[in-house]
Amino acid sequence: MAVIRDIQVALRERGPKERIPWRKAKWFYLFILPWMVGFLVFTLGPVLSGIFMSFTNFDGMHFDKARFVGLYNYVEAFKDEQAWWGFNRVLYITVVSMPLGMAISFIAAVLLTQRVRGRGVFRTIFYIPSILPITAVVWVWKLMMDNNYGLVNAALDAVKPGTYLRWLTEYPTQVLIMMGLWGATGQATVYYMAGLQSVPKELDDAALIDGATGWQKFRFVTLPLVTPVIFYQLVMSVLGIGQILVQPLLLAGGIGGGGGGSGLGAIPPRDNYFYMVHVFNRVFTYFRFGYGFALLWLLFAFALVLTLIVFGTARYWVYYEVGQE
Amino acid sequence: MTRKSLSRRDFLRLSALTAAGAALAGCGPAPTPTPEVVKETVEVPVEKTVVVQPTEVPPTVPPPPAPAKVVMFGVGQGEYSDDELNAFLAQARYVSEVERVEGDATRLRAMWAAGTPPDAWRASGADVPQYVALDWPLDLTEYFNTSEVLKPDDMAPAVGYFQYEGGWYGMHKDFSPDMSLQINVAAFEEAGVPVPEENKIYTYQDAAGWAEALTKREGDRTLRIGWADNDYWDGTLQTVLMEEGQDLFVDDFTRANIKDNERVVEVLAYYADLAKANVMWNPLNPSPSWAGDDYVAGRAAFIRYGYWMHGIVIGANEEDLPNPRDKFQMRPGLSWGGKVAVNPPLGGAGWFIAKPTQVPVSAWELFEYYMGGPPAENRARSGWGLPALKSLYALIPQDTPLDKQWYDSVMWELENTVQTARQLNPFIATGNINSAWVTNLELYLKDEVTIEEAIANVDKEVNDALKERINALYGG
Repeated sequence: MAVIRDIQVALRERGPKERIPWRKAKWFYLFILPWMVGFLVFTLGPVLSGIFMSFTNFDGMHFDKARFVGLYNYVEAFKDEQAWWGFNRVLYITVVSMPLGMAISFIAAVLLTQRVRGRGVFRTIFYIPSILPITAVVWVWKLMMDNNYGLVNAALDAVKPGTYLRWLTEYPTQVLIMMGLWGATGQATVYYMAGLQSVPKELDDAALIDGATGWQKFRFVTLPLVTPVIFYQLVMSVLGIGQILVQPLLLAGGIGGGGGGSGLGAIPPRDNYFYMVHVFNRVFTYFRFGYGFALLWLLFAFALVLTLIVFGTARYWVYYEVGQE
Repeated sequence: MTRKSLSRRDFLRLSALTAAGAALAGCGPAPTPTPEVVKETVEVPVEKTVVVQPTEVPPTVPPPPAPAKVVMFGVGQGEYSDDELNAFLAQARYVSEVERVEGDATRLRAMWAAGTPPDAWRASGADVPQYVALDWPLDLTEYFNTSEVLKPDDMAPAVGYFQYEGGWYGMHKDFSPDMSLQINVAAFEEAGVPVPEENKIYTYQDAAGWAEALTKREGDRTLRIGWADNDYWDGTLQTVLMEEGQDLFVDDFTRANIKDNERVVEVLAYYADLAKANVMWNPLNPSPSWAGDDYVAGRAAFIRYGYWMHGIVIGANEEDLPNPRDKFQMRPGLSWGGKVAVNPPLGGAGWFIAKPTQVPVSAWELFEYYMGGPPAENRARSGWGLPALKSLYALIPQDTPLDKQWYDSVMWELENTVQTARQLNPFIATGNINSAWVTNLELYLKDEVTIEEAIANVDKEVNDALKERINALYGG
């Protein structure tokens, strides 16, 4: 307790730009030391080693045989047709699913903040998919969408006999998008609901007194005040670009079953061969860890640039009630 | 002595050193093996009677002074139950405790990379060349040569997988010829296709005909696929080539002969045709699960796996089976029409002991008990695989007509087909060929490439991978 009191006193006594004396600050450093050590060893260390490894031909096991290869891995990455294919597939799924996901979850949030009977039940139903284990989710979707034995085709066949769609092989990305929307909407909806519920009621009332219609109230009062949440969702989505890995692998059908045809050893249909699937394949099937690191750093660079662009646009459309410095 | 307070600079320096130390510990070398103690040679007077005690452990590796803990990796409860493990510990002399670490190949690699490998680990016999190239496994030749339990002349030929470049690095926990057929007799009868005879080797062309005749459709839907093959593409190619005494790789394993080997091109084209005809699961019409599951569920008329499918058939609930259980039968593997019939295991799961282990004798005691003691007998009785010790064959189930049919079939194959281990490339994993083929097969099925282009792509991808891997290991 005495230590905490010392820190509190020190914080109170210091001036705006004044440094806390080391005698007192040492306790601060001591308290954050476990986190710092963890950060250095488990975050910064791997990140730095990842950068270093991307310039080597490291195979994942032989530190002693890893050799510095300069920019070879990066040059190879730009020439890698499969990496480009995977990247293009990522762009496709992002362009389709990101706005769709944001729109659906926003609309769901608007509906779920209305005073309707059974609102709590609907909120729960919307949120449940986001807490289910991904392997269980994919398994269920796989059973539903299976070309020959799936429930969806059976339902379509019941409505229009003879209907047969090869969901998992001709429309695998669409299935993935549907599954993603179903699974991730709940989480985003909760954020939007929090944003919508924080809109001061007096602003709504003021707009009504001024004669605003429901749409105008939404467009000129509610929406601007929720833009920080939309911005947050957008940034998170951009950061998540290219991270799709487990879902396409688990969704892939088995050609046989000897290990190369199902589970994480599966080769997804070409349309679901995303960038991270390619990285996973190169690293764990081909043992090209150095090359895999290079691919990952290129993806990081892309996501970083895109994030900076999104931040750059924020001043034009994100509304903050407090002044921005 | 004046006590100096720690300066901030000192504090930060100390923190950095601590962090760096912790980080470097993870990158350190593997633990140094305990130096072997060379026994002093003692001259024994000729006239004195010497009572020779049976050798309990190899003479070059003395027993440790006290029982030690053994870290065992990748062996789940299903393969070595706690009861069996406790029974072992109750009578073990050199093992005080067994730490069971579960995980996959990635975790195993991580443990090795961190310098903390397990003392014994479970893996496929197909991995032996790669492990030896990595210098991971302990050469157990001396242990086998002196063991009273695991005798070399009692070993099934399949154990040859673990004998590599003059060393002997482990043995199977069980194995099976992996290219044997499992047929659903009811499906053949329903389709009016003559049921393949027992103990007769049919050709791949015969199997193509069956696949077509046995595939059952309703509109575009596949109700039953004729042939749900395994996806051991490399194994298929290699066993076909072994019929003619050829191999997929050149002698030093630096190159794979794919597009330039007429037989390989024929086999891949054969599979591409079956996929195009949609009488075998393929990238455009994949299995909803896996072939073994399809087989017992009646979704596949015949499949190609090992004897261990027997365990799946006898373990399935009667009410879940589409037809009487004894309609699930085993037949010998196929032939491309070469000089000899070939059907060895393509790998088979077994155990290794780590070269840098500090407790080799303890690890060996665990190994020996698991491979030749009560756990091995229990496995043989379970009907999930063939024991690696021929002396345990008698324990394989033969009680029911179904048990007997599978037993007789697999025994016939052991006697009448080549069981020699296939050549395994130490530089690339089997997954490379599978990955390259499945990717290109899809392109072919979508008419984006010709079969020649698909095969050329596979050739390029596999050989590029080989080149990269050799370059990573040896430079150049």
